[in-house]
Amino acid sequence: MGSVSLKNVSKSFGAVKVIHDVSLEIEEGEFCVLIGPSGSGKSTLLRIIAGLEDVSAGNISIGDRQVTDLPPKHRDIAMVFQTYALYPQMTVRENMGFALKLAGMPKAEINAKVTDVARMLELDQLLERLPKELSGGQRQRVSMGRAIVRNPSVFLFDEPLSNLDAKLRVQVRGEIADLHRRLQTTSVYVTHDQVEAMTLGQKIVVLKDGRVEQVGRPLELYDDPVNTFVASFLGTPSINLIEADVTGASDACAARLPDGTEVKLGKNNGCMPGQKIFFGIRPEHARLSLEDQPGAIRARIHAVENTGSDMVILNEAEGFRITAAFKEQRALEPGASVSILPDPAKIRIFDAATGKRIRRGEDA
Amino acid sequence: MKTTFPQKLARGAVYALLLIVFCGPFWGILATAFSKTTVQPGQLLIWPDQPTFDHFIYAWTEVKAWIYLFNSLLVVAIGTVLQTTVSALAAYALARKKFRGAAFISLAILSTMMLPDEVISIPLYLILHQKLPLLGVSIYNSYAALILPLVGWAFSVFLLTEFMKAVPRDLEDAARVDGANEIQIFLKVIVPLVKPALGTTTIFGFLMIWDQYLLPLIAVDDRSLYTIPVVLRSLRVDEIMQQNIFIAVTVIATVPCIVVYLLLQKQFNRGLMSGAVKG
Repeated sequence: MGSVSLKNVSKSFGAVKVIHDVSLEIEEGEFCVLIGPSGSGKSTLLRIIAGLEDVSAGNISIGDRQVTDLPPKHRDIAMVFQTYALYPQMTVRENMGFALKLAGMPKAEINAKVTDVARMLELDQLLERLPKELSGGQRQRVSMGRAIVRNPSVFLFDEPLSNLDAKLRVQVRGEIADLHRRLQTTSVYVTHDQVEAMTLGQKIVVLKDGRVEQVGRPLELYDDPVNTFVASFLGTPSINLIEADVTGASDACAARLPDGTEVKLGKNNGCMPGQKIFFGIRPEHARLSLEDQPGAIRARIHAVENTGSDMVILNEAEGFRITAAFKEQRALEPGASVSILPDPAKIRIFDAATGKRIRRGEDA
Repeated sequence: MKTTFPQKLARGAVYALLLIVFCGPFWGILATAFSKTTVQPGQLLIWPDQPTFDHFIYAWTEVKAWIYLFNSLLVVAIGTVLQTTVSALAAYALARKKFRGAAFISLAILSTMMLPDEVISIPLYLILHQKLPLLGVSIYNSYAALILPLVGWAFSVFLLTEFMKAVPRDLEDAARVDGANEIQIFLKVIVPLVKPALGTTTIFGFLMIWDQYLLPLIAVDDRSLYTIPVVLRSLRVDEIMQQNIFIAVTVIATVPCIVVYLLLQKQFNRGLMSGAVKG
């Protein structure tokens, strides 16, 4: 096993810089998720760690070895690809044993290792099949088996669940988490799915345009985002970000929303009167009531999304939209008038000009 | 949809016509080659008359068709292997590697298909006469002169390049992560996946080399190095040579092509069909 360390890594394709001075420390045995929208550079960063892309600047270490200039085969890594990347002409056994064969391991030893890992992944009945004879989930397990059999220092996963259907995705996600618990191998996992990131990651790295926006534990990022991008990228339904003006005295400001509602921000909130802000509240922290509440945002229900386990209510207030979400089943119909009360402790404020978080005096 | 009788009849008629057009001439030369009855130039028998092997025995022993057949087989065997190898390696570089001037090189290779053989015959003749550096000898009048000019063939490079472009890049990356070097990636990942295309280019390459007429004429002047097409031409214009013997040599010249096609038929058909349908 080994830690992964990236120091000031940059990557350009011609004149286009896609990774900007990224530094990152991934502890030994840690499960680190790189998340970001398309084009954020997460896959490029993973390929850089794998050695499939050269860096334009910076250094990469795995364990205590500098691997910046080493080819993939000398980095002691194994990779699971989004497309599985199984060799179509080889059986499951041959696919899993290919790396060991290239390393010159004796046939009997390869067979023993492949059989062991196949048993662990419940692939032992499929060893003589070709990839085309397997389902998507089985192929992905073979792909993981091919990585595990090498017993590498680091596992690299490049959106391994993207090609699976929703149900299978949940199942394989569980299998990956279980594998990591058992093997405790350092893992770097790329995804654009925040549910995968939140459920699998011990550390999450949010990327945007080739830059690290925030690094932290899943709930840390969810509860304490550093900017509007991280706040809106994590969480489904997305956080409500409402443009507002800061009013009142500097030690006890309020946010005046477009409909004129004033929401108190408490003391030492870090805002300056007159400042333009984004008033952020996650849907599950916006309490919805059919009765009129003093100081609440008045709105009308625009749409009701009921998933069975959750109710998501999209509301239309004067000049903005606000979403509320809760677990309990309630009889709510579009068009109904509602009051929405944000939980004061869960309000997050961001500077409208920079998108950066404005922290309370005691948090800053 | 159910096929009606007139539809079946029409389809049968079309098949029969195609059979006559494609197989008729071959049947004619077989019938003539195995017949004792002498025919005039341009004539073919529809049915064998007094079946005999005499023309084949004469062609083998007196005309010494075996020498020319051996020459052709040697040239085509070595030539096809070299041509396929060179084409596959060139295609791998053009399809999978990024290097300066790749587009220009592709275009240059492709442009050689636009030049008729007659245009390059004189420069080729002069090059074959050039003495090789260090060795101080030319390859003119040798098997090398019959083989080497055919090793690079734009058609097979082009076809294989397109096939190799279709191999997912992730497979190459997976092999690289698994510890494969460039040669191993080429041999163990790329080549097995373009086998149908290799089958197609091997057959086309074989036929192209087998059918060479102009090259042997300008590359050798020793009759013992002549290949079958050159000898066929000389027999054709030989006024005292019986037409049936010429036809028997023609049959001998056709056999290797049929054998190779039958051996690689599966790959060939798959190669032609691949990409035609989704999946």
